[in-house]
Amino acid sequence: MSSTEYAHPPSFNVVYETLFPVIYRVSLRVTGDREIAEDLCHEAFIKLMERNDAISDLEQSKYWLIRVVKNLSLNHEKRRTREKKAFSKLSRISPGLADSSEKQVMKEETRSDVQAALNDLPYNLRVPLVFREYGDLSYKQIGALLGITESNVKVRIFRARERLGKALAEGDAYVS
Amino acid sequence: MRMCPDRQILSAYLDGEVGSPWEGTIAEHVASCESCRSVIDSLQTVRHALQRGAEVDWQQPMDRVRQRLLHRQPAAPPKETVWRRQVALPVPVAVLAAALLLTLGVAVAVLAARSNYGYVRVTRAPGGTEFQFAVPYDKVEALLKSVGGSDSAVESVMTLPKNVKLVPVGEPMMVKSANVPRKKQ
Repeated sequence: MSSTEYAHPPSFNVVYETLFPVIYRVSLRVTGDREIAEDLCHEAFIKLMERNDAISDLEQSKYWLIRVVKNLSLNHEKRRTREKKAFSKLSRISPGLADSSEKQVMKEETRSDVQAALNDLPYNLRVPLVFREYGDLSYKQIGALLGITESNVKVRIFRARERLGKALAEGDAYVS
Repeated sequence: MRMCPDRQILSAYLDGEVGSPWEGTIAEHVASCESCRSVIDSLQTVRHALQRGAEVDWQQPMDRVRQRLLHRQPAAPPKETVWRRQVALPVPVAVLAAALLLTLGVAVAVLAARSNYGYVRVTRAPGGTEFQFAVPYDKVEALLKSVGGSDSAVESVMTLPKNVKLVPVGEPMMVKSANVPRKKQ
């Protein structure tokens, strides 16, 4: 029996105290925004509270919560993509204005070079890497969450690391 | 292992995702191959950078979310439409309610029928006793004969329906003033 398995399902308090830091880190690194990450955590734990059937252990709870965060973060990602497109459009019309606006948004959204580099990764590379590094999920679990094969997870994580390494080495990420 | 493994496999090896027969072989190879060790080192650098990124302030968000969860309104139960709502009634009460509804329905139907047919009412009070007659329009003539054929002095009051419309056709037989009390000799 692993350390996270219990004879009885863990109480909500135990799940909250143990898993909030993990879920918050995952949400923050996927979205790159503290407020949104907090909202995602709030939503995810509400959904956990409203579940009719109890989750047997912490590992299962973590997997379930990360899945909720993944689903919720999709909406944020769509909005972010729309905003990026709007910025690129603006930069074509008025380069100076777009530069200052984008810099302002970057300043608000990113507080570290790692986060800035993660934000630059495409969503389909960023998410598997974040789930691996901050959620400590296996390739199998990540594949099941994203509906892709383990082999695909392996490729995406490698590519994400490669790009991230390049970005961090070049130091082109915005540093506040 | 002479050939260097694919860099993707080295990344998976770093994550402990390579099966046991290969894990040892790769470990041996990495120990003796400078090129692969360099790949592993660069992947490790990224991993360390990400781990430093894991040091985020989660305590304050955790407290805020806890407060939000504690002060959360319980989820409203799903709304049930009136037509799908089930009502449990004891059988006697249900029978009584059905009978009451039936009586009310019949009463309303009778009243509606009466108002639709436009009854003409005549009240006669011979010797202090009051009689009431009510006939539909097509029996008005017979009613008038009945009133006129009375052999004793009685006071008759004829009440026409409120919404009656009298149209003069040929020799007028009845006028609105018929409402005026008429004395018989």
